[in-house]
Amino acid sequence: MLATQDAGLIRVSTASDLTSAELVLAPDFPTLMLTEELCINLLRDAQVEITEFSRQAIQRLINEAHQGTLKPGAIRVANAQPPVHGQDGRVEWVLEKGHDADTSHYDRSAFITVKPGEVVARITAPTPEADGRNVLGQTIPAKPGRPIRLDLDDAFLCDAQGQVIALCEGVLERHDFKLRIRKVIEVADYVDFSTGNIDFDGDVVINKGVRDCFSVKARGNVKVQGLIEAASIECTGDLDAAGGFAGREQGRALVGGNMHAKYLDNIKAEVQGDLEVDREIVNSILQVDGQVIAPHGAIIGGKMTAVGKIDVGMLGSQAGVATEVILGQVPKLEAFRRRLQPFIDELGRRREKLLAEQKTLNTAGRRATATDKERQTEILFELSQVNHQWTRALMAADALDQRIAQKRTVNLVISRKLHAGVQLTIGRQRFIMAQEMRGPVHILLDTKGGVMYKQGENPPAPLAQVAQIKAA
Amino acid sequence: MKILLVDDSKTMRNIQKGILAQLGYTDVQEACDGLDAISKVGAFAPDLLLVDWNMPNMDGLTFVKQFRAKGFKSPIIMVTTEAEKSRVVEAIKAGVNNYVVKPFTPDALADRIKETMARVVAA
Repeated sequence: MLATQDAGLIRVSTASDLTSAELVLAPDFPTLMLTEELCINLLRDAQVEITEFSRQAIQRLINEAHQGTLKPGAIRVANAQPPVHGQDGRVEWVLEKGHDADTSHYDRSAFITVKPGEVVARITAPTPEADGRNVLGQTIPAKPGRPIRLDLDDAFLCDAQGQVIALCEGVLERHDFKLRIRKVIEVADYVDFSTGNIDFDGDVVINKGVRDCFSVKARGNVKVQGLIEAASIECTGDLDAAGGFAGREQGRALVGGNMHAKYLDNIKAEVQGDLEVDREIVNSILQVDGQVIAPHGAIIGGKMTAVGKIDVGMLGSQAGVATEVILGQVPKLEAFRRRLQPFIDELGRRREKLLAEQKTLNTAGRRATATDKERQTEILFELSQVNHQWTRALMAADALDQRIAQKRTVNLVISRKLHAGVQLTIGRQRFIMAQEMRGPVHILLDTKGGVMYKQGENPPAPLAQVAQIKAA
Repeated sequence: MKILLVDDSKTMRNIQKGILAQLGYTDVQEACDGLDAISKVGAFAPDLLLVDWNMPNMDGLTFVKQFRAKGFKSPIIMVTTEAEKSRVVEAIKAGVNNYVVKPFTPDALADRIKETMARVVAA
């Protein structure tokens, strides 16, 4: 070791965190004695790793020393390589409750619904870490990135690209990193501006009510605990309006299954199943393909068309509010039957025309030309097709007529009171009740199709005795 | 089964195609006369032919003779009018397997086809 070193004229100084090392030259260090060998030996003695940076720094030093420009002091000759820590994994939520400025306030849904195959989120894996080295050549360990761990159930698939894909339809529920798909939307409060309109493939449960002008559509059942206001409810399953439905002439319901309501007030509804009402049905226009069950209730005002039996406590009102009940109709089947008839008539006309032309050609007998025979063959071919279609249409019409006759029911039971002025439309006749009748009253058809009424234990009598008849 | 319809009337060919479609035969080609048919039989190689008698350029009978002369054995049903019925024997000698008389119903043509094919199978 050189005397200069012993004299402290040149020494190596390392930072306390070993991120750098410097050569420190005293002011009276003889710069001409500065050599590469000296510098490297000093660094080695100090256990500093000799890197390319170190060699370049030493070379610069020596150059400056020879040029006479070297200034005493500390000169950096080694730098640590800092570690590169891994970045934690990330998740990007693809589906958010987004809407743009053009979305109406009613349509801004609070729920995120997903369909099978939809990407719900994208997971980015953590980046790899790289260890560093301090000036002594020792490893500075890098921290690895932490992967994102999502809590998923069988309703999701995570593919190789990190996409989280929904496997079924429903409402997406997310709590931190836990994802679930629910087949039922449950609204804790009202369907209003906080939830937006609901359109869902599944059941909907609404713990309070549905506000004016909102709509609930469900490919399932709908249950509303509170009041349904002037709103629209459409469901393929059952509707339970446990709190009643006060539509103020704007309320609408389209029910694929059965409907139950506490009461109905000024609504329009089509129910493909049965309708059960606990209290009154007021000024509503209803079409029910099943039965109407309201033995403790009343039908006051409005128009009720029911395919099945009607069982009601009271019909009409003392004030004479216009109340119409239409019995014995099967509206959907009858409409379809009416649409079929023109088709049958048209086939019949085509058939008659072809038969007439065939008859004309047949009278030519042996005088028929080759063109005539060709036309005869053509007529035979067309006739066979028309006959086939006509026969099928007639059979379909016949089957429909039978079905309509089977389903047609005139069965109205009023347990408490049937008020004067109530109109009962049965077939082509409209019966307007001439007087109030105390229940039980049963309106039905006799074996010959005549419209009868039975009051209490009395024998049945023609309804015409207690009602004015008009053409419907 | 491949079927060749030989008739100068497009209407008749359409009727026959319609009947054949109802019977489940959809691989059908058309020729508008005997000459057109002769040019197509080589490539198409029909399994059954329905041939009209009166056609321009080459009538049905001439076509049948040339068809058989080329060595084709596929069955032929001749579509005739009542007037030509007397010449049916001549047609059979030329190589026709069966015939149907205009006007014919779809069922009549269908029966003829089934009858002809049954005979071919039996032979």
